[in-house]
Amino acid sequence: MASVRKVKKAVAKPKRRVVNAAKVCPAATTEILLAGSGGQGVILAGKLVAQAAIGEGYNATYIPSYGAEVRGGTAHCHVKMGRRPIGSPIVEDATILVAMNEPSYKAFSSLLRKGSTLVVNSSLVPTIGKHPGVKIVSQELTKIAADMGSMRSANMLVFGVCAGLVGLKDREQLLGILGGVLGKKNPGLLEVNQRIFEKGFELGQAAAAE
Amino acid sequence: MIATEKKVFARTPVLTPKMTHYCPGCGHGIVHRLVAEAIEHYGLRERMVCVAPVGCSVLAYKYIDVDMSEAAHGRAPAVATGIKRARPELFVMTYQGDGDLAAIGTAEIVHAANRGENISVIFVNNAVYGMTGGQMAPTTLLGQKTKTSPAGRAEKLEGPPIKVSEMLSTLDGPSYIARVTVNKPANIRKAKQAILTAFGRQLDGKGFSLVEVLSPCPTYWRLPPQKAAEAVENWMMKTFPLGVYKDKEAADGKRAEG
Amino acid sequence: MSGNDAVVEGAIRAGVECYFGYPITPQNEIIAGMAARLPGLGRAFLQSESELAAISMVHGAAAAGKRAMTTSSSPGISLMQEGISYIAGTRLPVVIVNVQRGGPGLGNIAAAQGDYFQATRGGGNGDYHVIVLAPDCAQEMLDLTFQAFDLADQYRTPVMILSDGRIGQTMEPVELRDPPAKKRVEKPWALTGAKGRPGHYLCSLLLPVPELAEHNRLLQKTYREIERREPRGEAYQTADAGVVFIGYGTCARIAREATDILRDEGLKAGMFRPITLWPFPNKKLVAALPKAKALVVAEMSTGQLLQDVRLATSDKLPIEFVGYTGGEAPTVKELVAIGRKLLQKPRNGNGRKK
Repeated sequence: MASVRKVKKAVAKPKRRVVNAAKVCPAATTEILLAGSGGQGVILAGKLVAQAAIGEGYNATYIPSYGAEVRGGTAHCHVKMGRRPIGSPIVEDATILVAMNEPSYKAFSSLLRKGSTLVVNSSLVPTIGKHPGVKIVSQELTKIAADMGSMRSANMLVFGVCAGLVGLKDREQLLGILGGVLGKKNPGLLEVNQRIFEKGFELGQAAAAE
Repeated sequence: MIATEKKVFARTPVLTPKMTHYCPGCGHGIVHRLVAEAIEHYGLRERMVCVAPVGCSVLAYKYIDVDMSEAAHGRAPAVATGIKRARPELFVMTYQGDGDLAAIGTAEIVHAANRGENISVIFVNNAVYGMTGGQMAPTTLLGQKTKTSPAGRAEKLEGPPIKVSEMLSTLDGPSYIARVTVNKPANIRKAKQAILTAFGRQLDGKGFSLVEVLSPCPTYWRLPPQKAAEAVENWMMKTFPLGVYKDKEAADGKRAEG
Repeated sequence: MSGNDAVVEGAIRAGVECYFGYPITPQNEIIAGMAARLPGLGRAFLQSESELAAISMVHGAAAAGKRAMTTSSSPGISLMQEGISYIAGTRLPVVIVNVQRGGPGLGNIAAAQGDYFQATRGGGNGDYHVIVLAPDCAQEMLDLTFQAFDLADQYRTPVMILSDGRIGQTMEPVELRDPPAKKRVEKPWALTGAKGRPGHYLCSLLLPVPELAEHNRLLQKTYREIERREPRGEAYQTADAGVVFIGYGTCARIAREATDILRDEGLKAGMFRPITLWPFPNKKLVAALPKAKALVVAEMSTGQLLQDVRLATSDKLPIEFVGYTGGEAPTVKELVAIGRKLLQKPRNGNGRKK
């Protein structure tokens, strides 16, 4: 009789482990999901994060939402980076979730886990729910960018925040990537964006250090 | 002295000596010969590809000794486009029937014409599907009885016949579009002239050309060959008048004069 | 670089001479890339009026002896089946890329793998096969495009790259290498103008019964040779694996990640992915299962790859099947949980009777 009970206990054990998602998939990679409304530039921000990660020797993948769903609606992209080759490019447990507006927050907050970081644009997401164990970086991203001279560049703030959070270090390379995207069009605009990026980078690094 | 023999006619070597499978009184044999003579005229045999259709003339490769490609039903202009874009130095033509060109292949012919694709199209219109046994074609005339319009084609049910030359000549792309027939020697001579003109356009790099040839189908018109040839004139041509429907060169000439 | 961009790069490096295509999501980067690059290289690019026309243009260009390709996504590939059958029957070398999306019908534009049967079983009318290659990353989109052109020329057959929206859209690093230098296959059958020779006729039409029967015997002989020589697959951590995940493309990536996580936990998981879906690497799969007690087949369809796995393994091993459609895909987490369940059961000795 006793032995039967023992077996039952042993079988039940893994089931309990399944409940704790964080333990099921020890984060071998950093998973970032960036979401916002079309035009907020999260697709570009995500691409730059992946590019910068590759530049610093990480493996990385980037996949945008594409096609009809992009036009006018919400846009999002998945970025994965790590020391190992990346398997699935899709974010299952967000290490970082960037929510630039309310619909994005609502759509993707289910990806938050214990230990996740939520970067939320409090300019457009007035209230958020309770996320125990989640680090919240709540900033008025749209307003900060606007105050610094370009409301449309909130995505560069996001690029900076993400770069800081994931521990990218090569400032020169990061600015170079930024210049590669914006440089040709308008040198004045580039200068503004660089400052916005730097601001984000500081915010991200500070949040990472907390 | 013996007078030297004067040769007045020889079969063009572009045609193989094989006997064709076409029915007595069918126009395909004549059109094949005109095409072959035009090929010989311009010396194209060794630098051309012909795209054969699906339809009665699906076996044309047996009779015309040039490089030939098959095409799926209706897709000959697309296959010809592929060949021409791959090897612009080759002369490329399609040989298509009415079902092939004006029903299943409408999209392909319209767009090839509209692109001004530098190919030549021989379009044989006999107002019926011959190969499959006499069904209604897109060019079947109103009232014409076929296996699939046993009571005669009715405008309300099946719509009127498609006039391909007229339709394509509304496009800006084509260089030359003409309708001819091969029902009697005088018309055959004119048909050959049109084919020569069409081929010439491609050789001059002027773009898309099409010659629609009205051709009798005694078998499925249920007429003896002689009557069928006459029917082209007094029945078919009433719906499909002969003539040059598009001639960019002439139009340019006029503009130059004006 | 995205997988779609890698196809463009691979095709250009492989010497594609003619590209014809029609826009459809999620492969539009390919047609746009070709439009931007080919004319400047003096090669042919044309946006066709339909997929029916695109495949026929490819048919023509291949008949003229040139390296020709087209790309599309599921509904467009369905339209191309007519031409693919003709091309296979005519024995022309062409390359077709299918960046699969959700079906049936118009479905959606999310990644899916529902065209597996269509690709591996022929797809159009008649007894034929196309070689089907399944890349699992952007790098392979490039590398397999090289191979596709070589295989097509070598066997005079259409070759399809069966990808999906996720592989096509995901950007990751790609080494822009050139194809290994190989002697180009001569094409004496090509339509080049019948200079000093009788005219060639390239066709699939053979009305006399003995001729078509003989033609089919020739095709089948080629297929048997391909089955002997070309099956490819990748075995990952399978030597001692008790559970082996099997998937291709996107699902192979998910399975690989699940394998890594299980291995981190000390559990003996492995992964096998077919790289050629036809010919299916039967022997390679069986050889990768020396210790396997169970298989997990993961696909973004409902039992298509599964059928080939069952055939290859003669149904000798129990299979857990994970299939999703409509743009949904297996998750790493889910495969890890299944793997753990399967691998821990015997260790715990749950007293299951034989």
